[in-house]
Amino acid sequence: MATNASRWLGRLRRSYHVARADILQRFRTRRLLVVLAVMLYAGYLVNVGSIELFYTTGDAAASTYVTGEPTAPYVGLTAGLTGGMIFLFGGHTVLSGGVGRDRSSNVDLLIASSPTGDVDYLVGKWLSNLGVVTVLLAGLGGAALVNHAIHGTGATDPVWILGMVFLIGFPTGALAGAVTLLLQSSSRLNGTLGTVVYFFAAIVGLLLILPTFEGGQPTDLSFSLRALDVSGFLTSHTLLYETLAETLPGYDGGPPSFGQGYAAGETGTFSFTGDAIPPWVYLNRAVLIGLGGATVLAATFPYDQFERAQEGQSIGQRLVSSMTGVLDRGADVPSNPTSTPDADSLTPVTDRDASGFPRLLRQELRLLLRGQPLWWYVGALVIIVAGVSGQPPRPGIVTVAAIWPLFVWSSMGSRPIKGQLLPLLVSSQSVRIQPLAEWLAGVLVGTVFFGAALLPAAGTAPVGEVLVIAGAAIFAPSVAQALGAWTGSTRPFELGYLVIWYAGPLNAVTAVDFAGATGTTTGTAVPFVFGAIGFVALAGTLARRHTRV
Amino acid sequence: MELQTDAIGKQYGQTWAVRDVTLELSTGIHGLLGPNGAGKSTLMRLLTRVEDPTTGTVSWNGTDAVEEPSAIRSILGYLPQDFGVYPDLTAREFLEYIAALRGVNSATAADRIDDLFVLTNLEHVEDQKLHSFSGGMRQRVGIAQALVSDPDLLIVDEPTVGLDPEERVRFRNVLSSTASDRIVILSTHIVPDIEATANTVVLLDDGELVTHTTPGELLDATTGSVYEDVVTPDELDALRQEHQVSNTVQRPEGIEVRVVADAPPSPSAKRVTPTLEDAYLHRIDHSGVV
Repeated sequence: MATNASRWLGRLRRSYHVARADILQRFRTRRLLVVLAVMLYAGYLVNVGSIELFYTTGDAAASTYVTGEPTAPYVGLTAGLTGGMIFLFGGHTVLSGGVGRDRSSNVDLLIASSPTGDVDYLVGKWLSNLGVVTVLLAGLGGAALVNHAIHGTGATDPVWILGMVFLIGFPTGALAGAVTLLLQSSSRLNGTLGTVVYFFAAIVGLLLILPTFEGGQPTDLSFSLRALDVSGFLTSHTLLYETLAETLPGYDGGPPSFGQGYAAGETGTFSFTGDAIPPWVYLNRAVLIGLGGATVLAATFPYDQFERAQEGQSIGQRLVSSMTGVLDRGADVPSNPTSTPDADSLTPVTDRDASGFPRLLRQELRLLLRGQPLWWYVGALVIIVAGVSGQPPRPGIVTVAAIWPLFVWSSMGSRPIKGQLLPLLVSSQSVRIQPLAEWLAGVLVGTVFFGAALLPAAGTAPVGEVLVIAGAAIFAPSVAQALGAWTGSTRPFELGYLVIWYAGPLNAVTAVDFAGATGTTTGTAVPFVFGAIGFVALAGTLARRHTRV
Repeated sequence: MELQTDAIGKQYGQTWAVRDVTLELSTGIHGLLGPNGAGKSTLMRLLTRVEDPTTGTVSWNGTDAVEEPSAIRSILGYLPQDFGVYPDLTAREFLEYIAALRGVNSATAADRIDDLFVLTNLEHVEDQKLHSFSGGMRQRVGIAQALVSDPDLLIVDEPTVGLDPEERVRFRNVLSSTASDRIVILSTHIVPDIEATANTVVLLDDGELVTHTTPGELLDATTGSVYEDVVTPDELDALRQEHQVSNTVQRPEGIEVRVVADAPPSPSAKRVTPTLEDAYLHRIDHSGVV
């Protein structure tokens, strides 16, 4: 009989091998290289000052803003914050896929039939995520070292630079890697809804701690607030506060921003040469890793390795499905081969050039709209009816109308790849028009949502509002389709779209308000710009299909 | 109808998956045989124009399909080895989608899809979503979609994988009855499927064409080279070292072994009539590999 120790060793060994296989698979794909390249580029922009972490006093019109000189501690701090922010907002996109990959490759069936339990499996996947986080941060830290050696001031101190990168970035990545596993483990959240939930959780995670900056010295903060520092901003605040207070008269403890400062503002620099890191920072970061571990354990409750076939189904659907299974077994009763109908009796096809674009468009519309949960259809109906009624305020209805179709657009472009239908598409004579039909179906969906939301406003400025509707309806599905076709995944579009939606329609940043929620883009170039981006994206989709033909 | 390849080849990096294959295929069933990695699936992807050849040409009725891929696409039905379905569509909706992609008009498609459901024994589940289908049922949907456009050229890669024995026989009958007025290319590891249906056999090994001949000629070339004997386990090990063993059956008196060899493997071995499987092993001749 196996002892407790040998059982635990066996479980650890299984988790290790789940992690090892997952890491090897990830490291042998180009996706990780692309992510690493993006991360290094973001780190480069921050470290060489193209994008700066700056602190301000005053208002936007007459502000004073200061940024740190590129000392080794400061470069380490900003590189760490860059890594932390990337994991905070992009963690679900960067780190998800471990469970989904096993499902699509049927490896999960092998694992489900082995002694590997849910905990062993998910811990293994989390360890794999930690491995990816480590590699990405090592790349970011290495690049920060090189950047400092070339562009920095003072001695290049690897302990400060790499230490800060890992101190800030690793716990955030560990938590993100666990949360993404939790989302993948739930049949309801293992898709676009999970991406949306993750994005808002990240926003909340950031917003929770930002108010603590205002007028607050680090020593005033309660531990519970410090414990909420997922991004590392409070760590940065604590380390830089005294230097900033000396350098920036009137500094009220406000949070830093990533950007290029205000054109009208005065500029200045401060020199952060490194202070002792308070013990609570280490504790906070350790708590985040522990929270990640707890989240992985929590993920074992929704995760069921034997229920893949019922993924994404409600309880009612599962019941129907199980009843269908009984009927299927009946239908699967072996037939008498001697009763095989003669294929010559099949209805002959005399014309194989008869379907036409409209029919393909109807088929693509059906594909696009089919398979959503009931709440999505109800919500869509409510949005359309409310929009047409003109009762809700414009910013609200347009903002909601802009996010709702994300659930159908996100599958565009990647659907044939994920569904393993590309060989059938590419070998058909509709190979070139199918992407156009899919695109137009997406645009029609967008037109319905944006049209309904903006219809009441069209009475006052018909041409301008129609252009806003057209720009939005073309932009979103086109980008979804292009990113899906090139990456084979829904996540890049989902993340990118959520960021633009959050900044534009939701937070009224006019330049990225592609949906016209603010009403200030009507009659401006903004709709044209987004429409043009849409057409460029469509060209990208067609180019991708051309490479497959 | 004629499908021709002329010195067609496909190179991935430094490896040739298919090299210098020249074929002339006319109406009937052509079985594609070869060991794993022989290049069968790659050859099929080249014929369906899912991939571009590195060298050579494919032509359909004299039209160069490398230059003019629509020449193949307009007359093709294709069942890839690994294919997917859209799980939220019903079987009927999925076939309607494929029919639209393949240019079949709605009315004809509706009638033909009805017929295909009967043909593939799926008529009772045609309105169920595909995510509820078993592997065998999905495979039958795959067969139906390949036939939905009544193609002149039907290319099927491992079509009977996942089918039970009765469905396999049913599919073989379907295939035989469809081949009178079209070209069917059937790739499979199940040699009896080819033996039962194919007019010619295309044998590939290591990406190269070994032979393209009729099953009869393949069998004739093996006649006199297949023996049966009853041996002990130790003798079986020794036989495997020196000869192609095509089959073994446990008997009370020992192990009945079937050997492909140019000379009798032992004095007690009896010469027997070859099967296509014996002929395949004889021709591929990977000694010691069964």
